[in-house]
Amino acid sequence: MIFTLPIMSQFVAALAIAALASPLPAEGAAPGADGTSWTVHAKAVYTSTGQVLENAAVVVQDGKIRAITPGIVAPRGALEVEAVTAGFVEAGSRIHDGFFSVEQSTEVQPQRAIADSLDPFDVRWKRLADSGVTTAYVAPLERNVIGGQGLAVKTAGEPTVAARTVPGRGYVTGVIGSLPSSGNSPAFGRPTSFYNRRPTTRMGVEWEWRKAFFDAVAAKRIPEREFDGAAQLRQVLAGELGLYITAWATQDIRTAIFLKEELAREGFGTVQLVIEAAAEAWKEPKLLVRSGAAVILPPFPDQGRTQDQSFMPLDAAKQVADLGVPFALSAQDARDPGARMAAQAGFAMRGGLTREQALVAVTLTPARILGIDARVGSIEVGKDADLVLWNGAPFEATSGIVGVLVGGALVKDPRP
Amino acid sequence: MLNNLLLSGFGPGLLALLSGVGQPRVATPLTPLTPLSPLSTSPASVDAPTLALHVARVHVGDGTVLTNATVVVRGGKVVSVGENVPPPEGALLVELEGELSPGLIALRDFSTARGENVDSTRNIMPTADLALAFDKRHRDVAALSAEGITSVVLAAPGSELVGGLAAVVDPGSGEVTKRKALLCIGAGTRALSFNRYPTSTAAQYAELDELFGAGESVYGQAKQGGLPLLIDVTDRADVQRAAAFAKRHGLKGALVGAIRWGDVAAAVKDAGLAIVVGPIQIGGFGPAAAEAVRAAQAGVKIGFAADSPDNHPALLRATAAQCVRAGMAPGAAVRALTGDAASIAGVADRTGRVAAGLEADLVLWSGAPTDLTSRILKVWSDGQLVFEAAPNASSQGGQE
Repeated sequence: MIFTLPIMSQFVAALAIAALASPLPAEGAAPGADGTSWTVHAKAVYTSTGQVLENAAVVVQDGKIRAITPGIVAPRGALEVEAVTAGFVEAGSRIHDGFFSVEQSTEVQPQRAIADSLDPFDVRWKRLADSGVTTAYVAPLERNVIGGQGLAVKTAGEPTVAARTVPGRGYVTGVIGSLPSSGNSPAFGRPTSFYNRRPTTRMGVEWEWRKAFFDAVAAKRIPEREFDGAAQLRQVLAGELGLYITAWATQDIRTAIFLKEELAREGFGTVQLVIEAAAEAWKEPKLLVRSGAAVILPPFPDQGRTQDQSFMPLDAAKQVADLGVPFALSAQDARDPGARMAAQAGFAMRGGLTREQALVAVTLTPARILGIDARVGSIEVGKDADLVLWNGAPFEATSGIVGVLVGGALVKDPRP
Repeated sequence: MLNNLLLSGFGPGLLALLSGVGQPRVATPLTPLTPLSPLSTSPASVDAPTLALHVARVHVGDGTVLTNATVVVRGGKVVSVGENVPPPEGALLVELEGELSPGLIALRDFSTARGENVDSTRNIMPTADLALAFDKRHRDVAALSAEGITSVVLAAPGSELVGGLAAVVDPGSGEVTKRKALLCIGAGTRALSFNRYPTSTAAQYAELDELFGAGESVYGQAKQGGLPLLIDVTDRADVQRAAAFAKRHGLKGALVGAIRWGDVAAAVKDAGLAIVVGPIQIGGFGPAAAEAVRAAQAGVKIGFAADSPDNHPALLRATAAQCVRAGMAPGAAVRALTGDAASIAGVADRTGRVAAGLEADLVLWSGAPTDLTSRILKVWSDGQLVFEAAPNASSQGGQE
C-alpha cells in the first residue's frame, strides 16, 4: 500500500514526515550509518501503481521505503531530482557464467540451479545497476533444452549470491528454438566424438521437451524410470514451479504453447508458462491469449530482425499490451547504453505504449512474473528501496538516469 | 679423518660443509665413525657425526630469526637449535657465512609428473596416488634442489574434479615424505570441460556435494579431518563457492589457483581454509601480490606454489619476494615458504622449520631469503648436500 497524504498542506505533510520518518536524515544529507537511509525528493514520483505523485519525498530507512509524502518542498538534505521510478526488474538478464552456467552432458537438467553459476563480482552487475536495473532474473545459458532453474538477484549489495537472492517463484527454464541444437553435431558426416549431442534440429528440441515430461509422468508409475530432474518436471506440472521458455520466433512460441496445451490435454497438469524473448509474440495474438502465458520481450533490434530471424517491430510491445497479455520488457545484457532498459521502455513508447504501461513493463509486471512483487517492482511503503532517479521525465530520449538506489544503498550518486 | 667421513655416506654433505665457506674446527675429537652407514637413513645413530652449524642468522620458519645461532645436525635431523650457545661436546663445528633457512616447500607442483598425473577419460579418481607419478631420476628434480626447494606437493591439476591424492616428495633425497597427503579437488572453472561431464558449475558442485555427502572412502576421511583438501579455484566467485562447500561438509585444507583473494578472504578464513598463492609471474603488474597480502592480513594462512615445470621453480621464491614488495613482512613470507607451507601440506612434524627433531632440510643463502639479490649457496635435504653454488660465483660480476 502506498502511504499518500492527499490534499494536505506542506506544513502538515512535513509534520507527517517528521512523525513517520524519524528516518529523515539530519541536516547535510547525512545518510544512515550504513548508508541505506536517505530522503529522495522529486518533482514527480512514478509509483508503478498508477500514480504520479508531485513534489513528493520518498523516505528510505535501512534499505526500505518508510514513507512517501507528496506535495512538499524538499526537506533539507534530501537528494533532489526531477523524477523517481522504481528500480527496473530485468526478467531476461543473461549475466551468468556463459557456457559454465548450463550443464551440457545431457539436454534435460531441470534439477540444476543457476545459483552456483553466478559471479557476484562480475563487472556486468555494475553496468546493469547503473542502467537502473536493481533486480535481475538469471536463467542458464540457452544451450540446453531444459537448462535448469534461474534465480532473481539484486544487482548490487554484499557480493554473495545468498545476500543478493530475492526469493520468488521458482521456474524451470529452457529453450525452444535453434540455440539448444546449434553446435551439437555435424549436420552430415560422422560425429567427431561420442560427446556429440542431440538434438541437432528444432524437431529434436521439441521431442526432448515432450519426452522429458512424458518420462517424468511415467516415472510416477514405474519407479525404475525415475531420472534426475523428473521431480522438478512434475512440480512444473503441479504448478509448484513455473515454466520459463525462451522462444524468439513464431514457430517456437507456437511450439511452447502447444506443449503446454498437450500437457493439459494429456491430463498431466496445467503449466504456468512464461515465454521469454518472445520477439514474435505479436504475430500469434489468439494463441497467446488462449495460452494464458506471460511474455518477456527481448530488446528491440536495431533493424527489424533479431535472433532466430524473428521480426520485432517497434509496436510489438503495444500489440501485446492491447491483447491484455502480461508482458515485461527486457534489455538482456545490453552493452550499448542506448539499448539498456530505459531505452527499451522508450522504444516501446515510440511504438505506442503509454509511459505508465512502459514503466509497469520494466518494474511491476516482471516483479509479478518472478513472484517478487511483495519486495520490489513499485514505490510503496515497506518495499525495498530500489529507486531510479532521473533528471527528466522517465524514458524520454532527453532524460538520463542520474542516480540509483539498490536496497537503500546509493549505487549511483545523483549529487554533483 | 676426512676420508672416513666421505666413506660414511654423509660424505658429500660434509665435504660441502668442509669446503668452500667457513673453516671447520673440531671442538672435540670426533667419535669413531662406522663406514658405509648413510646417516640420512640411520637416524640418530650413535655413530653418526654430529655437526654444529654456526651461522649469523637462522630463519626458523615460524617467522622468527635467530642470530649467532648454532644448529646441531646428526643423522639427517636437526638435534638442537640455539642462540649464543657453544657447540655440544664432540660436535664438528662448521662456520657458515650467510643466512640459514628451512628448505622451501612448493605447495603445488607437477615436476616429473607432467602427463602422468591426469587421466583424460575420467575426472573423478579419488584413489589415484600421485606419488606413483614421481620420478626421482627426472631432470626436473635437480632444478628444484637448485632453488632451495626440498619439499614438493605433487598434485593433480585443477582440470580434474577429483584428481587424486597428492604426495609430498623430497626432490633432494628422492623420497616420498608423505603419501596421500592431500585430496586434490577441481572446484573452479578449470575443471569444466566441453566434452566431459561436468560442463557446468551447477553440476560440478552437485557432484561434489553428492560425493562428500555420501562420505565414503577418501571423502569420509576428509570429512573426519584425516585428509586435507587442495582445492583448485579460479575467480572470486569460485573461492566463495568452494569455501561454502568446504564449510558445509566440514572440510579442511587449502585453496589454490585464484588471484583475487582479498575480497573473499573473510569467507576463506571463516571456512578455516588456507590459501596457496601463486605463482606470480615476474614483470606482471597485476594485483596478485597485493591480493595475497590482503588475504594474509585478514588472517588467512598462506603458502606458495610455483607450478613447475610449467614455470621455473625459481618462481616460488620470486612469488614470495613479490609479496614482500607488496607489503608482506619478510618473516611472514619466509614462514609461508616453509613452516606454514609444511602445516598446509600436513608435514609440519617432518620439515618446514629449523627445529629439533625435524629433518635437516636446510638452505644457506648469501643474504635474506626473500631478497632476490640473495643467492642460494647450499641446499641440504635430510642432511645431505643436494646443491652447491658454483665456486666463486658470488664474486663474479664486479665488486661486492
